[in-house]
Amino acid sequence: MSINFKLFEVKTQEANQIIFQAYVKDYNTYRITVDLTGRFKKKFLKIMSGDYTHKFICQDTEETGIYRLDEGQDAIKNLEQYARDCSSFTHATALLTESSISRQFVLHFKGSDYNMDKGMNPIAAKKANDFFYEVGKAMLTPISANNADYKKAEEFSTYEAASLRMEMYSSNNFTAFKEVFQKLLNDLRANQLSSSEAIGNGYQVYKKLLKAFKELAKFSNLRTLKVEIEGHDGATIRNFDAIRDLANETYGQDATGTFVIQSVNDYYRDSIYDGLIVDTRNFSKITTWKYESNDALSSFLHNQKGENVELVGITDGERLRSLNSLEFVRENFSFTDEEKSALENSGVTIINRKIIIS
Amino acid sequence: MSYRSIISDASVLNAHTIGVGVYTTTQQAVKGTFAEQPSGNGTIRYDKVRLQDSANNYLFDRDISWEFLSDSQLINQNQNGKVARLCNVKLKQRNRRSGLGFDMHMQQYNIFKSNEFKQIQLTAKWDGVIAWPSMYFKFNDEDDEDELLEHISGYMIDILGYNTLKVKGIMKNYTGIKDLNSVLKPANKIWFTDWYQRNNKTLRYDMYKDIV
Repeated sequence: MSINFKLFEVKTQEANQIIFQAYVKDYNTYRITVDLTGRFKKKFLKIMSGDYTHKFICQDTEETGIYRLDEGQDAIKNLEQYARDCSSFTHATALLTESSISRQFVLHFKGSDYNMDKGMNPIAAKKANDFFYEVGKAMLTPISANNADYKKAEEFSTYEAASLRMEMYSSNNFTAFKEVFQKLLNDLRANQLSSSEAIGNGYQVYKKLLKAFKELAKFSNLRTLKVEIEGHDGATIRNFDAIRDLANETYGQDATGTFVIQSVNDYYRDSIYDGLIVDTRNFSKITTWKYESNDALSSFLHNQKGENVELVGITDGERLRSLNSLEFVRENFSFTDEEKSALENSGVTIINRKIIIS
Repeated sequence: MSYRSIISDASVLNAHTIGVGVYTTTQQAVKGTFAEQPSGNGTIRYDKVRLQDSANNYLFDRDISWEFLSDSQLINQNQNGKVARLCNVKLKQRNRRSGLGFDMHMQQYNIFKSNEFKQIQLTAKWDGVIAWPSMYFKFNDEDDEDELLEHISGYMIDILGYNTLKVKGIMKNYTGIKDLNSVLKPANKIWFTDWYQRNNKTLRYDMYKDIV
């Protein structure tokens, strides 16, 4: 675990209350977490740059003195000097200590649209920011109920010019997330994704990350994305189209299974489609399977709540599931003549206990 | 040209004279006299004024020193004008809360205005770090005001016992030191300026006030 940030705190002398607090790496890289007056930041920057001065009067001589910093432009050393000296001319104490903030992961975008020195393409900047945001959200997705990662943590990101480098820091470790992230990177390199059984509790996070990585194929003029995890090389990714195709192969697959009918609704309020809502047999996951809007079929299926069905469909994407057919499992299930006639007139095919839609 | 061309002797003394009953410590008049002969030239005039009440009690800890300049750079303005620079003033402890400081300042302001002065400049020290901003003097360097508020927030927490949420609210609604004047001079606790002077290296701020 690499530790790059120090913690700078200014406290009152008697009650020891924090007036100002900031995590700081250098002059350009810091995060202020407490600023009681809302006005300390300017002074903080002046201390780091070495420009801070303080005029005072000596009580005994009534002469004016000037306090100056003498560590040049070394931000950390200037803060250390101020922390040593400030109690002589203020009623506060200041401390600069090691912090618990550590680097979680780094995304390093390289390509002609990602050179911040030359002024970044704003569309490219937005895509990179969105990607970084999605990976950050995946980091905060719970992986197991007992995971100690999910207590409140300080976290923030920093950016570096001349190729876009984005770093995520936090005071928590997120060990489980980093393991899943590295597993995904390894799989992308091997061009082979892992199953949910292989990933286990982290599978939701694995899929979220894959979904974010699939978007890289839409980034223009991106040559490589280098990912570091905890300061170590995770992977350098180049073939973004291959990732997109790999992700698409995970979807677009035939999906089969036995489900319990729950309901039917207008599929995401889309008038072109209706959606059959089913649950797994152990009632652990609800999914919606779309088909072209069909009043007779929807009305019939709505009345079959609780029936077990063998369902065949295609997953086009995370939220796009198309229904091909369903067969009622119950042995003594049958369609009435009226039902069969109405369904067949609506365009579906009935064979024994099976409805074929397409 | 004589230093009297900048401001007359009578005006200087008049600026340090207050009539009966104007302030609250005593109901006696305050009169200024020259502690030493004024000096200078057509560009700058030096004065040292002594203030006493009619019982000849000294009202200030020391004689008040002034420099009057005929043509000097105005603080925070891109022009010159006549400037009255207060070099040394310290009220005696027993005269705190008397209103004498405010009344004296208003008397001076009015006299200087009638003599076409554009600005009063001074270095706020001791009680002055609160008194002068309460009389609408501005900080030459606005960073000084930020730092003063930092010290005031520490005083509020350590001496007045405020919690950080209350202090944050005060700072958020802050519009000027005058709003905090009474809070910084509590009846039963140490004043902010006395608390601050527990440090050997104590506060001082360069300040100014436009005469308009």
